[in-house]
Amino acid sequence: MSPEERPAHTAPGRDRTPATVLIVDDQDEFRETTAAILSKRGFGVTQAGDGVEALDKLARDDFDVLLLDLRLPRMDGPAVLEALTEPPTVVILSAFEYFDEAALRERFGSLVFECLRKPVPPDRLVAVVLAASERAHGG
Amino acid sequence: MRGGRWRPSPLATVIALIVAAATVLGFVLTNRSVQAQNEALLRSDTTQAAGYVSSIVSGLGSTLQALASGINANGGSPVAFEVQAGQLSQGEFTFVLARKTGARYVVLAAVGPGFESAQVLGPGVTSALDQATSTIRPGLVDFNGRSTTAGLAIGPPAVPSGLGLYEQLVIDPFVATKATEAAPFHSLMAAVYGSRTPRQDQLVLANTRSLPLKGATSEAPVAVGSANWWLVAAARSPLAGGFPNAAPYVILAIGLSLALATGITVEALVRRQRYATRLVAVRTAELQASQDALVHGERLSALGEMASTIGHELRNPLGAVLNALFMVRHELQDALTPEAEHFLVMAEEQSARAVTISENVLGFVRQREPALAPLDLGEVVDDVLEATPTPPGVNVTVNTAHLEVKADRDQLTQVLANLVTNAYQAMPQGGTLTIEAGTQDHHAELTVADSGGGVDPAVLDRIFDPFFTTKATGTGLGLAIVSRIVEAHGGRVTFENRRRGGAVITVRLPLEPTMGPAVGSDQEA
Repeated sequence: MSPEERPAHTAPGRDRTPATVLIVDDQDEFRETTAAILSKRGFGVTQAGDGVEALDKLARDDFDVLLLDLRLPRMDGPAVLEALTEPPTVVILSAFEYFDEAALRERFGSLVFECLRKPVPPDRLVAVVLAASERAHGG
Repeated sequence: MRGGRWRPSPLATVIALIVAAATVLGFVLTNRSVQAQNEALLRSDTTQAAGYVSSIVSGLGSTLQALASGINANGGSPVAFEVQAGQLSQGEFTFVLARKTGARYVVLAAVGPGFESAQVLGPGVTSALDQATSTIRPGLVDFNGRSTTAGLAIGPPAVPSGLGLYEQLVIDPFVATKATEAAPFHSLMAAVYGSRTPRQDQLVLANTRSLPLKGATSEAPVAVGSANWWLVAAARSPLAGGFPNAAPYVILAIGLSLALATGITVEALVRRQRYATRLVAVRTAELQASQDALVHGERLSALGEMASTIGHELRNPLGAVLNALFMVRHELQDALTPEAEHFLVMAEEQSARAVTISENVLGFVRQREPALAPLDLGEVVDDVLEATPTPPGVNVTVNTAHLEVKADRDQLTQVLANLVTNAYQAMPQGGTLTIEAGTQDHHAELTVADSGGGVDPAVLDRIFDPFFTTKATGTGLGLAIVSRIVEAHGGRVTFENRRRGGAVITVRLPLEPTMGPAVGSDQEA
């Protein structure tokens, strides 16, 4: 079964189990609308407004995909990545212009699945998160 | 060395000429005064010398008069004359007593050489005796090249009527005598002539053999009884003295040196001032340029910061808007009325446009150094034209032969895309876009010309400034990005309004590029 023929909200190899996404972003409206879109597409979505809250939620639950902003209150994106013990597949989504994708990939290796600059057209965002969740499940 | 470097300044020339002219005037005046003094002294000395010679000659005349009175007392006796004259004659003098017979004079008695009794006297002596009265009269003067024969005559009533007394002397005119050794002669070269004009055969006396005298001469009559001899004299050395005569030349030398020195000094001052003025102008221009650059740089840097901030800050809300619109469409789907659909599409399009603008702004701010690689310019042109839809009514003419340049493909693509988009926007009513490429002076030259309205000449020098735009909807970054990319490639971009309307932009890229100034690079987050 190819991904196109399968319902978007089910992860490969875990049929009927929704893939889970933690959205970490301090901009409430963006976080909220992104969560709404991903939920509509069948992802299990959790939100965090800063780095510390993100680590809390990562400690409590497992996530397939971490959608991470870089500039965050209390603890920024790179610090969150450093602190991860059981890392999900990470998609960086930042409005910050000057992040150096190559440097990030060198530092965190294959942990970083994709780097996106805001704003991202919703269709593309969904496609990237889906691909990330497939990798999380060894797809 | 520049031509004209040694041409003196007008000021220095004028001042030097004024001093020189004053000097020459001083020289002329002084010299004239000294010469006048020389002449006055020469006249005075000549007159004095003539007077001296005259007094010597009148001594001879008084001898003749004494002899005449003896003759008178003795009734004209030749014997008594011979006795008396014998006492007076001292070798060089000859005394002659003659009687007039008809028109001629016959010698009655002679004491001294040269005359014999009964001799008929020659015309010269005859003439002198004819004119002689009791006042003595000069007689014949004759210089034969070695010696001079001269004479004095005296006649009635000093002697009895019908008689004449003549005294003749034969002298070497150049032998110094009492007459020519006197004080006035010391400073003169002088000659006494029997005639008014200095004829050689009329020479009586001289203290020089350099005759006739040359240069400035003066003459004075030497009174000899009732007639004159003439004394002609020239100064041996300037009579006013050595220093007064040198003075005009001293003045001339000092004055001309002064003129030269003044000229040189003024010239030096003028050049120093010119140099200082030029230096001040150069430094002022440099200061102005660096201040302009500083102001321009600060403005750009402030604009860049602002652009960066705005770009970043817009991204989150734009992201939220895009997401929200997506959700609206997703939620309503079939429930959308045509009117709602129309406005939703409008919102989506305008949001997308806002995203593009923010990308442009950030694209300008984050410009990186070009990654140079060989590429075909014509290929890039084709790619851009293909990706940019040609507006209706616009013809596109491309004339780009295969031309390889070393450039950053993405950046050059952006340059062309911006130029082509600008050109299309400049021709809303349609027109012709002409793209040409060629090489010139080791540069690839790419021109993009449109047939639109051109640009107001008043703002031509600002069109490459970031955020400067003449369009209602532009961000003012298109040409700024073009300019920065081309300069980063070591090239240059210029803009011209075409005479037949429209504008042409020329991009010059070095075929062997040396990198232009770095224009910023990505930084680590």
